[in-house]
Amino acid sequence: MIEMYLEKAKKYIPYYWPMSTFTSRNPLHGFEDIHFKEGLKQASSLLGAKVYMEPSYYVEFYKEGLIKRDIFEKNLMEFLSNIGFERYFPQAKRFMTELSKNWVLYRTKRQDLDLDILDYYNQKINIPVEDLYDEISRNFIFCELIDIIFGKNITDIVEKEILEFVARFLDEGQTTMGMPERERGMFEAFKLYESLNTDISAKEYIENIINELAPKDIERYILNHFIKDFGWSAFIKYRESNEDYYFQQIYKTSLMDYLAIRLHFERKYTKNLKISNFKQLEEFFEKDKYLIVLKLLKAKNKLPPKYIDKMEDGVESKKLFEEYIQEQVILEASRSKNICDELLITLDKNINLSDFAYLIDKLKEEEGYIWLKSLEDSYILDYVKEFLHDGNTYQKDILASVVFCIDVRSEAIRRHIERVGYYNTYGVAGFFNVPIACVEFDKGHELNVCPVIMKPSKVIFELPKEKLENYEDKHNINYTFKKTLDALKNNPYTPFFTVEAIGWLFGINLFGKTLFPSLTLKLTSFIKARKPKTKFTIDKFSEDQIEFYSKKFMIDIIKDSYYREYKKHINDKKANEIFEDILNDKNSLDKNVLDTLKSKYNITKERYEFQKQKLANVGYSKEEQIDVVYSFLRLIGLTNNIPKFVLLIAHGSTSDNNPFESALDCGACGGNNGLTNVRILANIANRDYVKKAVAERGINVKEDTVFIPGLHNTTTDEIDFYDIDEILNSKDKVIFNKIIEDFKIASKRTREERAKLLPYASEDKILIRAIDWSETRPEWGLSKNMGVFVGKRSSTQNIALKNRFFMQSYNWEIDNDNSILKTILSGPFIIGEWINMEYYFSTTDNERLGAGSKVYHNVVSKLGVWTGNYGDLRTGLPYQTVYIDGKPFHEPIRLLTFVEAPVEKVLEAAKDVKEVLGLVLNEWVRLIIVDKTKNAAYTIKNGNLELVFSLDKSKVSL
Amino acid sequence: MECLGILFIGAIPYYLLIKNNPFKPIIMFFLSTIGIVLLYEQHNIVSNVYVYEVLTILAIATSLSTFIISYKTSNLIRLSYKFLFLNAVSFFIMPFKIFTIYFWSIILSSFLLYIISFYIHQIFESANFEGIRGFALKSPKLALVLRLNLMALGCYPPFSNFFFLFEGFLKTDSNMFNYAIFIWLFLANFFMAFRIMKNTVFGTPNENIVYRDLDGYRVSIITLGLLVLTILGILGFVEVII
Repeated sequence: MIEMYLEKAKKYIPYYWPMSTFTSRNPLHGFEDIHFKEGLKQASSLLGAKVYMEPSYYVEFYKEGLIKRDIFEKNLMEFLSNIGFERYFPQAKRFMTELSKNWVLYRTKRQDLDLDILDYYNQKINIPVEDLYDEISRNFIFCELIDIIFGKNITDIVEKEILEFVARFLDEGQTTMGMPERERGMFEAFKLYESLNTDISAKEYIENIINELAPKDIERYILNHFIKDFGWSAFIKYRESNEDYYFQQIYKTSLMDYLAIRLHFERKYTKNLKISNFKQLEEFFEKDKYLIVLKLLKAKNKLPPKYIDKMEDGVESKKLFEEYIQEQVILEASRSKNICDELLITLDKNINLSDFAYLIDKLKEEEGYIWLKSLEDSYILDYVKEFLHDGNTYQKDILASVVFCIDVRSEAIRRHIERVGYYNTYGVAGFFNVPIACVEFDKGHELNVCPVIMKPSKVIFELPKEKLENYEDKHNINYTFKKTLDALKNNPYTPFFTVEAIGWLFGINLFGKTLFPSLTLKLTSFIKARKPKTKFTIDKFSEDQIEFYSKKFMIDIIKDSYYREYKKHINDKKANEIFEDILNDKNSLDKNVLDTLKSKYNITKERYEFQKQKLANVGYSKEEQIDVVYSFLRLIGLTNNIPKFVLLIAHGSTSDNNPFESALDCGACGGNNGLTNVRILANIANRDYVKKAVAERGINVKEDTVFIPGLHNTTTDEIDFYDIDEILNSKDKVIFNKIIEDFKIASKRTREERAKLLPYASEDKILIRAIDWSETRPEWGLSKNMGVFVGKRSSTQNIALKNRFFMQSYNWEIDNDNSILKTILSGPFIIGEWINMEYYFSTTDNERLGAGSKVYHNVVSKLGVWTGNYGDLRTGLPYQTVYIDGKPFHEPIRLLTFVEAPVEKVLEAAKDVKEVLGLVLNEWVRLIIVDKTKNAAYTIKNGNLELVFSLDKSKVSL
Repeated sequence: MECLGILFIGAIPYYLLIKNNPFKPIIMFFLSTIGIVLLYEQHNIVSNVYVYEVLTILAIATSLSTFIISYKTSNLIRLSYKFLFLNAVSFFIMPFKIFTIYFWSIILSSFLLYIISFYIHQIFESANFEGIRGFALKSPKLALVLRLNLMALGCYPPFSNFFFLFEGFLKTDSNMFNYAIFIWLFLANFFMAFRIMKNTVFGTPNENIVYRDLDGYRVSIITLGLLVLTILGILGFVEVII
C-alpha cells in the first residue's frame, strides 16, 4: 500500500537536476494533466505559493496599453457570463482596474452593515471548529503540529537531523571526508548512521511508523513530508529516475529511503511525548478544540496580533474564538460594503448586496487568470498581425547561412548579423540534431549534450590531436597544488597555519579580480593548462575494433584487480588466460582466483558484453552520418540556395563565482554549452561522401560548401570559430575574415542593445561582467522569454523580437508527412515550456518556487545551493535572474507558441504527440497557428479551434 | 521607603503583585522608575550584610525568572519593562556610581522600547511581535528605530548600556561571582533583545496585516532618545579607556 501512496504523492514533486547541469523545468509539472487555471489553484493551496502576480502589476500594464482594453473587457465579460453576472460588468471592470489593488485597505470595520451581507459572510466564515481544524491541520506534519499546539521546537531539530544526513549522503565531492558505507544505499547507510540494528527494509520501516502515527490521509501525509523540503525531494526524485547518473550508480537513493529517514527522525523525537500520534492528538483536540484551532490560526499567520495577546492573557478560548470569527465576518462584510460604496452599488436598491459580495469574492479568485489571459491575448494579437504580413524574402546572393540555437538570446544577434551583410540565419535546438553522450577530453564520465528528455544513443570521445606535454605539465602542477591546498584547508590542524603562510597569495587574486579583472584573467589563463586541439571519435568502430578494445579493456581490468587482490603483477599472457577462462566458463586456472575476480571485481562475461555494447554505440556509421546531416538541413528548411559557408553556432555563457552558471548555458544541451555538437556536426557535414549523398537525396549541398562550428558567448555576445585551420584553405580564409569582421560589428551592436536592459552596464562593461566575481547578474539569461516562433525566418526578419522568442526554423512546404513538425513539437516545444514555466513561477513567487536571493546562497554537496547554512535545496531561479530593484524584470506569461503552417497540418501533428496535445488542451502553453494559406491565425480554446485574426476579413476574434 | 525601592527594582517578581491589573505595564514602569530613584537616595539600606545577601539572592532569582518569563510573552510592551527586572541585579555587583548611570541608561532604552511598542500598538492594535513580522520590508523607519533600540538593549556598542556594563565589569571587585553575573547580564540582555530581531524586524511580512510606517514626528522622538543613548555611550567609552 505504501508504494501506491508514495507513487501518488511523488507525482506532485518535480525533478530537480544538479546545478552542474541546471535544467529549467516546470515546478508544477505534476499538475500538467489538469487545466492550467485549476492546476494553479490546487498548487497554490498545496504549496502555499503565489501563482499569479499582484493585481497592481497587471493594472500597470493595462494603463500603459500593453493589455488591450477590448481584450480585457472580452475576457472579463466571458467570465461574468459563465457565472451569470453579466449585468455587473461596469462594476466588475472598475473593481479589477481600480479597487482590487487596494484590497487589504478596504478591510476596515463599519457599523452600518446589512443583514444579508452579514449572513453571506457568516455562512462562509463561520464553519464548525472541527472542520477548521481538519482544513488547517492537514497541511502540517506531526512534529509541526506538536510544536504549534504545545509550543515546542521539535521540527527544527528534526529538520536539522534530516538535512545533515541527506546532504552528507548525497554529497558529490564538496567534503574531503565523505560519509562511509554509502555504497550500501541510502537507507542501509542510514541504519548504520543511526545504529538501527535491524534487517527491515525502508518500505516496512515506513509502514511501521505510519501505523504508529496513524494519520487520517496517508497520501497527503507523505506529500506533506516531501513538500516540507521540496528541493531535496525533487533532487532525490531526479536521482531515483536516472539510473545512469554517476552518483546514483554508486550511492543509490530513492524517495522511499528518503521518506523512511524523514519519518525516523520525526518519530525519534515525538514517540516519547505524551501525545505521540494522531489518534491521541484527536483525543486531546476534544479537550480544548478552540484553543488548538486558535494556535493553528496563529501558525498560519491568520490570527490578528491582538488575539495572540489575549491568548497569552488566558482569555477563555471559546469566547476568544467566537470573537475572532465574529470579527472576521464583520471585517469581510465591511470590505464588501466599502467596495459597494466605492462602486456606488448601494445607491441602487435593486441590487442584492450578498450577490455582489459573492461576485467580488469570485472576481478576487479569478482575477489573476483574467489578467494573465488578457496580457497574453494582447501580445498574441500584436504578433499575429506582424507574422501574417509577409516580410522580406531571403537575399539571393548570400555569403553565409548562420544556424543558431533557438534560445531567445540568439534573436538579437541574428537580427544584427542579417542587417550587417549578406547573411541569413536559421534556428534549431542547440544540440543541432546530434544528441550524444560525450566523454570530454581529460574527463572520465559521459556528459549528455542533448535535451534532458532525450536519451542519447551515441557515445563520442574527445581525444587530443596534438602533443600533450605542455598541457600535462601545467595540469599536473595545478592539480597537485589544488590537492595540497584542499588538504591543508580541510585538515583540522592546518588551516590557521596555511592562512598565515600563504593566505596573502589569495590576496593577489582577490584584489586583481576586483580592481583589474581583465588583466587578472589574462594572467590566470597563462597559468592554467591550455586544452590541446582535439578531435572526436565520429566514425563507428568495426566489429574487430570493438572486439579488440573490449578485450583490451577487460585485460587491463584483470591485471589491475589481480594486483589489488594478490599484490602481484601479472603479464598480458596470464591476464588473457584468465579472460578466456571467464569468457568460456572454463576452470583451467585456480578456481578461487576466478571466483574472486568474478564476485569481487565484477569481471564477468556480462561485463565484457556490456562493454562491447557500449563500444558499439561509439560513433556514427556512414549511413547514419548522411542521415544526421540530411535531417538537420530538412529540419531547418535549408534545402536550397545553400551558400559557400554554413556557420553552426552553439552557445554558452561565461561568469565567475556563479553556482547557477549552467542555467545560463544551453537548455537543449542539458545545461552545457553546445560546442561539441556543432564541431561534430560540422566534421560530418564537411565530408565529401556525406555532401554527395545528401545532394543525391535532393538537398543541393555543393562540393565547396563548408560547415564551420562556432560558439556564441551569450554574456559578451562574442562569437568564436573553431577548427578553421582544418576546414578552410587559405583562399577561403580571406573571405572568412570578412565574415569575422562583420560578426564583430553585429556583436557590438547586440551588446549595445542589451546594455540598455542590464543595470549599470554599457557596451564595453558587458565584457567585464563575464569575469566579475561580484556580479550577481552577468546576463539576463532567458528572462523575459515569452514565446516560440516555429516557421520561416521571412515572417520575423523585420521585427525586433527583443530576445523574447525561441525561434525554430521550419518550412512546412517540405514537411509532407509532418515528421519535422512532430520532431519540433516533441523536443524544442517541451523544453521551451519547461523554461518558460520555470521563469514564470520563479517570478510569481521567488521565495517558494524560485531560489531566493543569490546573496545568501551557499553551495551544498556540490549539487545545489541552500540559503544560509542549512535548509531546503533551493530550486528554481534566483531573485537576481528575474527581478531588478524589487520589481519583476521577467514578465510571467505562458509560452505563446506560434506555428507557421496550415492549420490542418498543425492539428494533425499535435494529435500524434500526446504530451504536446495535453499541454495545449490544458492551456499550459498557448498554441497559435499562423496559417498564411488562409491569411489567418487560430488558437485552441476550451479544446476548440478559434479564429484570432484574419487578414482577409480584418476580423479580430480575440 | 528603602524597602519599596528594592521591591520595585525587582526583589519580588512584579507579576506576583499585580498580575491582572489592566494598567499593569504603565504602573510597573513608573513604579520601577520611582523605586530606582528612591534607591539612589536611600542606598545605604544595603549596608546591613544580611539584608544585602538576601537582597542579592532575590535579585538574582528575579533576574533569572524574568529571563525565563520573557520568553513566554510575545508582546513588546510587556517585554519593555522586563529589562529593568533583569538588570536590577547589577546594583549588587557594580560600583554605585556606575550602577546609577547604567541603570538610567537601561531605563531610557526600556522606555524607548515602550514608546516604540506603544506606537506599534496604535498602528496594529497590538504590539505582539509574533503576529507582526517583517517590519524591514513594510515599515522601514519603524524597523530601523526598533533595531537600533534593540541593539541598545542587547548591550551592543556604541550605545551606553554596553559601555557602562563593560565599565562596571572592569571596575568591579574581581571575584567569580561578580564576573558570572556580568556574563549573565551580557548574554541575557542580548538574547532577550535579539530574539525579536529575526522575525519581527527581518522576517517575511504577514500578508493578512495592513502595514503602516511611523510618521516623522514619532521617529524624531525616538531618534532623540537613541541619540542620548549614543552620547552616553561615547562618554562611557571615554570612561572605559581612561
